[in-house]
Amino acid sequence: VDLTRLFERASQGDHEAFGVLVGEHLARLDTAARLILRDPELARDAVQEATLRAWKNLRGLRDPARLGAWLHRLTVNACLDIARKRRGRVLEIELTPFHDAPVPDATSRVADALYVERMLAVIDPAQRAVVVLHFYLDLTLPETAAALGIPVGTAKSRLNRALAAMRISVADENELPAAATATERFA
Amino acid sequence: MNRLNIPPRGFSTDRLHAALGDVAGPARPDYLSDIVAQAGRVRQRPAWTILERWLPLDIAARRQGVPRAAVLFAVMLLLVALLVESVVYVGSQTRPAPFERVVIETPSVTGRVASIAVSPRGLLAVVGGDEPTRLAVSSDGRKWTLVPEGQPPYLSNDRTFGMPTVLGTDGGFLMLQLNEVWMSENGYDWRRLAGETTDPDLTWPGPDAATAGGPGLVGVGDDKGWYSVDGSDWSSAVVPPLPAEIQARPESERYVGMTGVTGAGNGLVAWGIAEVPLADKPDEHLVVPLLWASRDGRMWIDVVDPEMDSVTAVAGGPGGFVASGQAGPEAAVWFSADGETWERVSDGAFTSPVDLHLESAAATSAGYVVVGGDGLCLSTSCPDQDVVIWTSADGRSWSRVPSADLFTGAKAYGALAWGSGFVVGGAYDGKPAIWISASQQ
Repeated sequence: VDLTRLFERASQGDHEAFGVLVGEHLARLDTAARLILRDPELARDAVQEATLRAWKNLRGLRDPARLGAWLHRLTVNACLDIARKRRGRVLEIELTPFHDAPVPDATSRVADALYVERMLAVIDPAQRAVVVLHFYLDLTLPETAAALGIPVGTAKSRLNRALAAMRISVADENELPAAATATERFA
Repeated sequence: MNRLNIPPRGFSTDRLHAALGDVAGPARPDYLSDIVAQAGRVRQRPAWTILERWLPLDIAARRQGVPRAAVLFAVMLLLVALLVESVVYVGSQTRPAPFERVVIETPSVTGRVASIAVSPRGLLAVVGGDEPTRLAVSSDGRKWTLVPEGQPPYLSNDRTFGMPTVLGTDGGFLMLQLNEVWMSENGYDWRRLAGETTDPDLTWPGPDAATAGGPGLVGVGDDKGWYSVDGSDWSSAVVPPLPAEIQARPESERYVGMTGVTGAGNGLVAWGIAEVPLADKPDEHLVVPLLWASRDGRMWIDVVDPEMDSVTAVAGGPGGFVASGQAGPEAAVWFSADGETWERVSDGAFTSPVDLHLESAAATSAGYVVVGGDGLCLSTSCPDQDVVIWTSADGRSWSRVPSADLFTGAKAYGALAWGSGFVVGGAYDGKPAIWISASQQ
């Protein structure tokens, strides 16, 4: 499919073409929203709000290749808007159907997911947004900062604090298990 | 925030990515048809074109009884006048191109120039991001060579502990990474000057930034300060208490990061941020700037101006200090002759219709420069950014370097004096890049 042609058609008001474009990103957007909001219905609302904003302003996007990054930004901000409006209310926590995901080392992977799910509950939506953007959507720190409209330093501090609160240390694969001190890791 | 009292668990980025995906469960969103239907009911906002802007003018003129030919003639006359004016202006410009952009090409690394240093031997850049961090050296700023991998120091990146900071000295380069200080004469061969194992004052996480000053070198990082004669033996400095609203919160909930330090004359200024979640709105954060001043690098005082909402960089020059940051919703610059008393300058000069961030500042022999990024947004879309540069001879009156193609699709992260001009480090088209000012070319 010629994405540039699809984008042109969508920019001219072809909502079916827009649907094809959004469909390419929808699963990741939905997953990211559920991770941040921890509620599938709210996540759906956030994604729909984000895609509607994208549709309205599609003609303002100069580079079709940036559509995905733009949708991520809109979705995360829609999630944070919803989280702000619902502050103080209890959010439903979705149980994870791990049995749907067969993997070679299922035991450790399930343990990882249980740990991460438990730790996600410890941090707030703004911190979850940074973690999700950086570690799930694989945005760089500058891109994460740009997506949230905050300085890079703030994104970095927010990420570090989120990981600390989640009791998670991140290292390159060949550095695991994490050593006791940084000196031991890098010397 | 170790409320759960469980040991930390180490993850690789891939494992954490997979775990996050598993937590969310398999994504089978079934509402694409709803999105398409919703789009079908909502009109898109127009993207104005010249013709669309012309149309209302044409309609208005016709209503006034002005013949369309007369309107077209007037418009054509105006365009010809503008064209002639442009040709005359371009012909009168005899200066060389004001900036040169150089992309640091690497076989596998994309990202940005995170730190850059100048020594008598040339330039050293720290390039990378989420990819493995690399060092690149250049004698002229135009041709860059990557330092081979596989030898110490092993460099952290944005996915681990952030990228190292480098600074130039008369004898070569210094590198600060985690709680270690490394030195190199040429950028290729490095030796560890100091570290946690040999210097008990270099406690984790160690200095993130340093500058020449005080007894020799002065460093800051986290909520601490250090000083050293030659970089091999560091002592802890006396630093100001944290702001009350930060200090009041448990240490586990607050983040304090001193991110830079600079010197001028016999003064030093260090800057950074402190951040805590709001007590009544835990998903929002209170971020306050930190600004310290010192005469000797051993003892610091708090000098933050109440008008400063953030301080992104400070540059010390012969005339005093310039600080860039944010005041309310606006990008702002402050000037201080002594580093202790600050005054906002050029109110309104640092404006943008979109999303302006000043990221760095530098002092040159000709004055000062501040750089940053300007997201050229249309409605909510901000897919692109431009490098923006302001210069000033005295630190008080500023003028913006005109936009140019070589600044488009790019962002600046750092500026540094180089000879009689300056060099800007950043990213262009997703790759590490620098911009060299004309006076250096």
